[in-house]
Amino acid sequence: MKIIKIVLTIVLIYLFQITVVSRLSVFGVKADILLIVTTLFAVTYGAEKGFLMGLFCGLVQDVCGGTFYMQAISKAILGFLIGTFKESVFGTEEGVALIAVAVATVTNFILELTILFFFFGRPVASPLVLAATLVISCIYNSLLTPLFYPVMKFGSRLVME
Amino acid sequence: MYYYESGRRKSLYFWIVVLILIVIILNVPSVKRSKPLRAVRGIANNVIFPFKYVFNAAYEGSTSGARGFFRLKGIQKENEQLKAEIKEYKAKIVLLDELSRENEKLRGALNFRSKNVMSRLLPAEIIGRSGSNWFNIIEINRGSADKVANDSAVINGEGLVGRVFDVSQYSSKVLLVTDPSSAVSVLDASTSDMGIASGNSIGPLKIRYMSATAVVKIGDKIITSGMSDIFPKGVMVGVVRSVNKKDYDIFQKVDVDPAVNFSRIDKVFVITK
Repeated sequence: MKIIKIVLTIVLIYLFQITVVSRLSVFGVKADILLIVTTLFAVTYGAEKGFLMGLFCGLVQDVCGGTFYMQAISKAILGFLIGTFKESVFGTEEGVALIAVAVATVTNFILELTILFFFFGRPVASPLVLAATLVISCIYNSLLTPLFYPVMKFGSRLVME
Repeated sequence: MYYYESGRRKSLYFWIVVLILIVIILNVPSVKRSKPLRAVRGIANNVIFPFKYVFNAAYEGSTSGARGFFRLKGIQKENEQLKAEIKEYKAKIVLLDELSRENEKLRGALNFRSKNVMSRLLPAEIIGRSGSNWFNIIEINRGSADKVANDSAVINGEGLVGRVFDVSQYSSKVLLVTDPSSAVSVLDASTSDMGIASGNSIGPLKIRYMSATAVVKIGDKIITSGMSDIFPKGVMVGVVRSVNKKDYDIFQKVDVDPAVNFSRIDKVFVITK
């Protein structure tokens, strides 16, 4: 039952991402709220649960997205890395989530670029556009993070059940 | 305790490696296009489709309501202007219908295959957009049930939007011309010089393989060439923003501002096959 609730929550966040968040782009760059949720989860519960959350979030995006199966792997690794280094790198102070999301955005960007361009040879935007996208999405994702603290509280209740 | 933690970590590493292998296998083209995998995607898309529709309608309703409130003031004037425009367009449509009939007759006389696009336009609404910055994709509320097929061109009143690349029963995904993997054969409307337009995710489209001898000017209209089976000839793609020509290059670099404002589109037309 708990797993169904978690999956349904992820699907709802995904729907919110593709219908609302993807329209609210800044200079054409969209925020990735599933990345924010994965990062917050990994920071709170560590590598193992971060890995699973990233895997679920990425799978929903991959299965419904219709392109490459890559988000499952990039977000699962991301959840694992953020969870692993949460105390040694980020510390445990308040506001750590914002820094963690910025680091997660860069890590996810590198992972997805590696998978897409170097592994599958898919054409990507020019280096200048890529750099601009990375900077803007880092700031955008970090600024949106506090809005997802209530989602995390709801998630915490599900995990504690 | 340490050994317990170490064991768990090792099992996690194991699952990461397994996951990487699974993802690699899933992305092999023959596996990706296999029936079971397509069926899973189809079911997922069909299940999620009504929710997308509801989310999108709720967002549209709330934003259009807010916009409408602020625009109420100028609406009377706009209404009169639009009525005048409608009269003008109606007159033009009558003329175009007549020309179209005449064209069809002449084509029939010459035994040409009908290329009348107007009768194959299927209106569609956008119900979702790719959440990723790597892909420029939209999702529309028309699928195989409406006879939409892969590689159908998608346009709107402003110009070329993209092409359908993934069809479910009630919805389809459209690769926008702004996607880096998109390639459209185009020509300069004033000189008929040809090239290939592809996207750069955000910002202008890039035209490749435009001969250095071609005379392309800033402000020139770029339209589809009709050289492929996907896009009909003459659909507006954009307007030339800049031209970069070097003496020693055999091709020139041309940047084009897309005709379509992709951040604002909500309705499109699929050209059915």
